[in-house]
This record gives sequence, C-alpha cells and structure tokens, in this order.
Amino acid sequence: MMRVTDVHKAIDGKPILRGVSFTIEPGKIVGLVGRNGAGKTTLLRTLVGVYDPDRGSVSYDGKDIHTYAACKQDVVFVPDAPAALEMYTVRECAAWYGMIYPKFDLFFFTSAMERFKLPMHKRVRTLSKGMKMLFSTALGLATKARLILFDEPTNGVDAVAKKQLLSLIVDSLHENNSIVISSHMLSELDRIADTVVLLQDGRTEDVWELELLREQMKKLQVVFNGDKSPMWLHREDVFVLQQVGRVYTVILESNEAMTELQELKPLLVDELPLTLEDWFIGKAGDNDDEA
Amino acid sequence: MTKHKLFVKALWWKEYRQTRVILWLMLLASLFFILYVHMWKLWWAPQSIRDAFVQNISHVYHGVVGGNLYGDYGSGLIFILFGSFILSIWLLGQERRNQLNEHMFALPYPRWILYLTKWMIGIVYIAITIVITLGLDFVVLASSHVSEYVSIGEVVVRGLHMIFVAASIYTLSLFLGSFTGTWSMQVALFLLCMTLFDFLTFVIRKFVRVFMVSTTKSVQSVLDTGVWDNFNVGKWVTHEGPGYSYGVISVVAILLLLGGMWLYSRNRTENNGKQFIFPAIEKAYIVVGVIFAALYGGYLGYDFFYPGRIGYVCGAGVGAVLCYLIIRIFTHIRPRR
Repeated sequence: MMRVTDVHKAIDGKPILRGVSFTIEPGKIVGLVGRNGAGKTTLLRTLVGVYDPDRGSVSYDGKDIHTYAACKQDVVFVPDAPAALEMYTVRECAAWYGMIYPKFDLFFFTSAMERFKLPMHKRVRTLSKGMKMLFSTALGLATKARLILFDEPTNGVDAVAKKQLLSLIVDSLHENNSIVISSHMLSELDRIADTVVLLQDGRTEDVWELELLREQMKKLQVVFNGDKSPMWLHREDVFVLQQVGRVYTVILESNEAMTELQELKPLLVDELPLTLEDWFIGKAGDNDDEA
Repeated sequence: MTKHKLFVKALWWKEYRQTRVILWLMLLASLFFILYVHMWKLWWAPQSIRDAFVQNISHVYHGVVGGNLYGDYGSGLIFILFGSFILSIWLLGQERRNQLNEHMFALPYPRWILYLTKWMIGIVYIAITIVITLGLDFVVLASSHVSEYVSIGEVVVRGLHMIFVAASIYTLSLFLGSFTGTWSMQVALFLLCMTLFDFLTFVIRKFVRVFMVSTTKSVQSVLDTGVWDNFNVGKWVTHEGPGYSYGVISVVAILLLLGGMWLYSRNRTENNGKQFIFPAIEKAYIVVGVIFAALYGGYLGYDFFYPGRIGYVCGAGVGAVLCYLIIRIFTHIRPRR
C-alpha cells in the first residue's frame, strides 16, 4: 500500500530523518514509536506531502506521493491539533471534507459527533483540547481513505473519551485500509497495533510484528545465586529492564539466552507478561534506567 | 501526465469562506468612494458643490467628455488595490502563520492548483467589486441631469483599466507571498517594490554623477528608451491617459503568476515563519539589499558630510555594513513557525 524508502529530511540544517524505510500493508494498524525528538511528526508530515524529503521516496500503490498529489485522496493526515480548521464550525468542516474526499461518510461523522456529544454548530476553536481531538479523529476516519495517519490522537483526551476514540479507530479498520498511529501511549498501541515501527535518531531502528514479538520474546524476573551479577546479563540478546537489589527484570530475545540462564541455575525465574512498553524501554531506553 | 481540474470547488469554497470579509469590505469601500460620492455631489451636497461638479464633468479631459468624472474612480481604485493587497497577505502570509498552509499541502491537490485558485479568487473579487460599483455608478449618473456627459463605452474602458491595474498589483503581491515566510516580509517587499524604481533611478544617477561614469551613445540610447518605466510598479497604478503599457505589464504579470506557481510548488514548509522560504532568495536579498544601502549611504555621505568621492565611499561603506547587520538580525527572527 505505502512504501517508505530511505527517507532523509533535514530541518534548519539539522538532520531529523536519516534513513527511514518501512512498508504499510493493508488491514493493519501500524504504531509509530520513538523517544521525543526521534522524528515521528516530521516523518508523518513527509509521508503526506507537507514536507518534501531531501532524499528517498514515499510511494502509495507504486506512485510517488510527492509527485502525484491525487494519491492523497486515499491518504489522510490527522495532526495532533486541528489548528487549520479552528475558524470553521464542525458542520462546515464536514461539508468541506465532503467536497475534498469523494467517499466522505457524513452519516458516520454526524453519528460520531452525537456519540461524543459534540455540537455541529460550534466553531472548532471553541472546543476543548480533548474535544478537538475527538472531532478531528472522526473527521479523518469519515473520509474513508485507505490510509489514515494519526499524530498523537489521544493527547489531552480523558479516559472515557480515549476508550471511545480508540474503539472508533479500531472499528474503522477493514482488510483494505490501514491506520498509522504515532503515539507515546504505548499501552494503547499494545492493545490495538499489529505492527510497530521504532524510530531512533531519525532512523527506523526496528519494525516489530507484535504477535510475533510476544511469541519470540520473554520477560522474566530473575534472582541469581551469590552477590555478583553474572556475565549472562551482558549478552546482546538480553535486555535488563530493571534491577532492584538482586532481582533483575530482563527481556530475552533468543532461546539460547534461556538455555544459558537455566544452566546458571538461578534462585528464581518468573515469567511476566511482555508489554510493548517493556520492549520499547529495552530498545530505546539505552538501558540507563536500572534502579 | 495527470490532468487536473482548474476549478476545484473545495478550494474555492475554502478561499471564499476564509476571505469573504475582504470582498465585502472592498465592495463597501469602492461603493462609498465612487457611488456614494457621486450621489452626494449630484443630489445632497450644497448647491455650490453640485454646480462645481457639473461644471467639472462637462470639461473635456484627455479628449473625453466627462473625463474628470472617471478620474473620481481613482480613489475607489486605491481601496480596491488595498483590499486585494490585504487579500494576498491573508491567502499566503497569514495562511503560513496559522498552519493552514501545511494542512493544504496534505490535501489531494498539486500545490500549483492551490496557488492558481488563490490568484483566481483575487481576480474574481476585483472584477466583482469593479463591475458592481461602476455598473451602479453608471445607472446613477445616466439617470441624473449629467447623463449627457456619461458614456457607457467610457465607463467600460475605465472599468477594464481598473481591473487590469488591480489584477497586476494583486499578481505581484501574491508572487511576493510565494517565497516569503511571514506576512510582514510580504508587506515589506511589496512596499519596496512600489518605490524601488524611483529610488534606484535616483541613487544610480547620483553614483554616475559622482564617479563621472561615461556611457557610450548606444548604451545611452538604450537607457533613454521608455521601456524601463514599465518596471516602475508605482506607475502601473498612477499612470493616467494614453501610453499605458498594457502589453509589457501583461507579460510581466503573466511571468509573475507562473513564477509564483513554480515557487509555491517548491515551498519548503519547514521554513514557514522564517523571513524567506528559500535560503537562496534570502542570500540574494542580503546581497541586493547591501548594494542598494551602499548606494543610498553614498548619496547621504556625499550630500551631507563630504561632497567628494571620499564622502561617497565612506557613506556607502557605513550604509552597507548597517544594512547587512539589520538584515541579518531580521532574517534570523522567527516569530512563529
């Protein structure tokens, strides 16, 4: 559906994206994660043509999105705040999007507005931050575009509305469309994403299929014999998430690590449920948070 | 190659919704300064003013009976020009400021269509304002006791001239917005363009006189041709009567439109909020600005401090350095991305 190939982008001479490559397949929710300043928003803006890449390409169904603007009938970007729509009323925004996107579903949009109790006659600028996000998410989804990109959709949204918003997003997924969500809320992505792209220092550090990740990786709590920590903890396929006294919380990337651990005959080995957050901290956190 | 519709309803709707106030203000201002003033002079003013008005329009001016009447349209034109200038700032400079520009670039339309729509909506506003105002004015005048001095042909010619002038100026101010990153720089460059020709003529003449630069006859004959006057943007507005260079100004305006479309298509959105969208144009601006400041500084040094070449050179040096520092400071200010 969308192929991102070796995208580079510098802003004010500072490289923000330094080789981003991944593909987005239909029928999937893709999470885009990375630490602050990793380039997530810049990447999303480059994917939809707001920014032109310095190098590399973004193609949608084989066509370069920066050359063929018409591709964007099927690629919609929902930014973290609908600043550009603030002067319009909710109803006017729906009317305008209806003119832009031929598949715009007005019934879906008005139903969502009723569900979120958002008045159609109000100007967008008068809505609260959370209401604005609910509005722009519903507006983006109502376009029925095949690829919708959200930048921090749950920012400033309360817990109840967040649940509604995420269910609206998940319910909108069909086998032919895809959704990309850039978010810091890893627990949310953990529940809804199929694939997660990790951006680090402007590069695609890793692309994880969450289902596969859960099968292959193990999160363990381990207590070793003796006071000295074994060399096993320094293996490349072992991430130490946390150390509290002699208790280590670790992620194992391979079966070999597990076999070697068993040979060490630790006092305690307890398997814990692996979350995306654990994996993210292990990969992006520089292992500097040991307690 | 993909074919695109030139008239995109969604874009026209958005531009109209965003700027309709300006259309109403342009219309209101031109109706007031043309239609209302004529009605007042015909019917409500003191008798002496009413008589003077009739006497004035019965005068043959530039070979046209009622020529003075059409001169009244100048005040309305100034407001139409001002309105279209504000419109260009609203559509480009202000759009960059409130991030609407970034939103627009994510829509399924090529950027040149976005720019062309902005240009077309401005032309339509100008045409609507002038047609309505002059149409109503003609009805009023033709139904009054001065009807014998009013000719529909002359009103149409005058209206077309006003549309032409306003369209050229609007094209220029929109073009300036295609590569400036803030509305304030768009305004500054526009004001500069309006006065640049007279300023340059003045300082270059001074330079030639001080350094006794001699020109060959052939060069002088090229300099003496009136062609250069066509680039005096101020004269696009103020020139009255025969000799108005519709041909040259049309060509310049078309080039400005195409240039604006080209530059807008290559806009680097990440530079919104900087004075210039393109670093190369910023560099050129610094170089040109420093040269002009040096010429002006030289004039000041020569005329006010030391009437000799040393005075000129010292003034030029001070002007160049000051200008460089000022431009550097201003181009590094980034009020809002």
